Amino acid sequence: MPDHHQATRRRLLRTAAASLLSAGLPISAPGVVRAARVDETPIRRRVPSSGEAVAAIGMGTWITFNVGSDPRARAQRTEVLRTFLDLGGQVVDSSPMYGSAEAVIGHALDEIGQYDPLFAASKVWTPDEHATREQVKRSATLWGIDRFDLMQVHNLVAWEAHLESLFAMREAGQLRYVGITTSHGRRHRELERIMREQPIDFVQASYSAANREAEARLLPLAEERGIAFIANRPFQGGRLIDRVKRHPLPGWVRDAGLANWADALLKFIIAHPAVTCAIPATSRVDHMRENMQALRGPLPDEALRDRLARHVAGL
Amino acid sequence: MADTLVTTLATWLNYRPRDLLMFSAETYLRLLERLNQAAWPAQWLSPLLIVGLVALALGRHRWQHRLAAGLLSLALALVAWRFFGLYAEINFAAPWLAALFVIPSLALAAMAIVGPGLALDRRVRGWWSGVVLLAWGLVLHPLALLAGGRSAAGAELFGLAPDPTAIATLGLLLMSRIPRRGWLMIPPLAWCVVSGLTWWLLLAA
Repeated sequence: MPDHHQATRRRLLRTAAASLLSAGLPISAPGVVRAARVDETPIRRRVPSSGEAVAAIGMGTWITFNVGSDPRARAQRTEVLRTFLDLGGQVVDSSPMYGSAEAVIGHALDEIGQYDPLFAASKVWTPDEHATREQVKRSATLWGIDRFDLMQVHNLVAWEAHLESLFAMREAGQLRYVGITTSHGRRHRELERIMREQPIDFVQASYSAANREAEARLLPLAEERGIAFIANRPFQGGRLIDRVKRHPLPGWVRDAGLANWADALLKFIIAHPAVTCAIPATSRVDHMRENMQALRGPLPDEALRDRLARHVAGL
Repeated sequence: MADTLVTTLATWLNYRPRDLLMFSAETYLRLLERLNQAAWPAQWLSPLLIVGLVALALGRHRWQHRLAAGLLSLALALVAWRFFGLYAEINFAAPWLAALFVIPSLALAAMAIVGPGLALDRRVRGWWSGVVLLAWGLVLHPLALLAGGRSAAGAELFGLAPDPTAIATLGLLLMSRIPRRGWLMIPPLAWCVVSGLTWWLLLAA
């Protein structure tokens, strides 16, 4: 018989709340929030096309993991990835465009020797329409994995042909999900068209407290079409977090249970009901720990999100 | 093939300059440290190389000028090989940028073998500008970086790091009486622009 059948009432309530969190469903709590601080259960979001729950804070690797063969830097990045996985992270996102990042991820995974919670996401980035499978295979070799959970077409490059090949690979069980990405607010109209017309599982675009453009059309469309949304550039390439960190965290943010600026900015993102995951990138273990605080604890409600965005805009 | 090239160019043109910066300042500095580590203790030859090169280029005989051109060609080739070999790990454009050192290296090698070599002449227009650039590349540039907080392990030296080598090459060419030297100055000048933009973007990131 499962343990929770013998648990106390408090434990039962915790379990129920955790289940709701896992389902990505809102929980009301006085004061702030959609989700209460019930326990240390990571905040998860459902992938609409499958119902699978994934941790709402992922990890990007643009710039931060492009360190070449430098053994010292590779050891540091291994610790960053180890910390991420230890603290409940799952989604690791990279691309062949990120230089040596995929090889560095592969090195780190090999050192860590821990693959279970990993949700491996990379991209196809080549103008050669016939090179989709070859590039996916090469990326998998660099990562040291058998197959990717998610393969995305990077920045809409040759997307028609790549999507066709990726759908066929998904059909054949060679990868689990197919997506498409853009960043810096590029080509949103074309992205919307793809979201309407193609059976993709994921879409990835820039979204942060300082860049809410995706809220107008992309996020509602993702919700309507049942497409998981990955928010890239949550700190705007580091500029946003560097800017806000020059100012003290306001008391009303702290009162809402948000521990630091990284926690606040990331929870701003994942509190949006259409967002599946935010993928901040860092090369530092202490920053990874700060980021991963956003995977637990209360989420801001709509009023608090608006207030936070207005405050950030004024800094 | 042509279609692929056009699509590739179109793909890259879709990005802004800052989007193309694929690495951090920390990683670039580590690259320079690793360059020095790999060369150790050969960097002590760097001052000897430049002193010998200038002495030969100031000599009276053609064989001295040819040897000077050969040494400068060697310094440029070393940068193309060692620095850009490492740089290619973190920057897709590195093999293309290496051409900015390979091209003048080949031209100087040709001058060393069949041409007049590299002769410095105090009477040429631009002599003092050349002297300033040479001093900047060899002494002021590395010292300014050290004064600015750069570690000795990441020091930039002629014949190893691209910036002092390009700046010193510009200086030597300005001091020389090589015919049509302006053409030969384009690649190192282009590298100085690329390097300046890279640091500007790295520091702004």
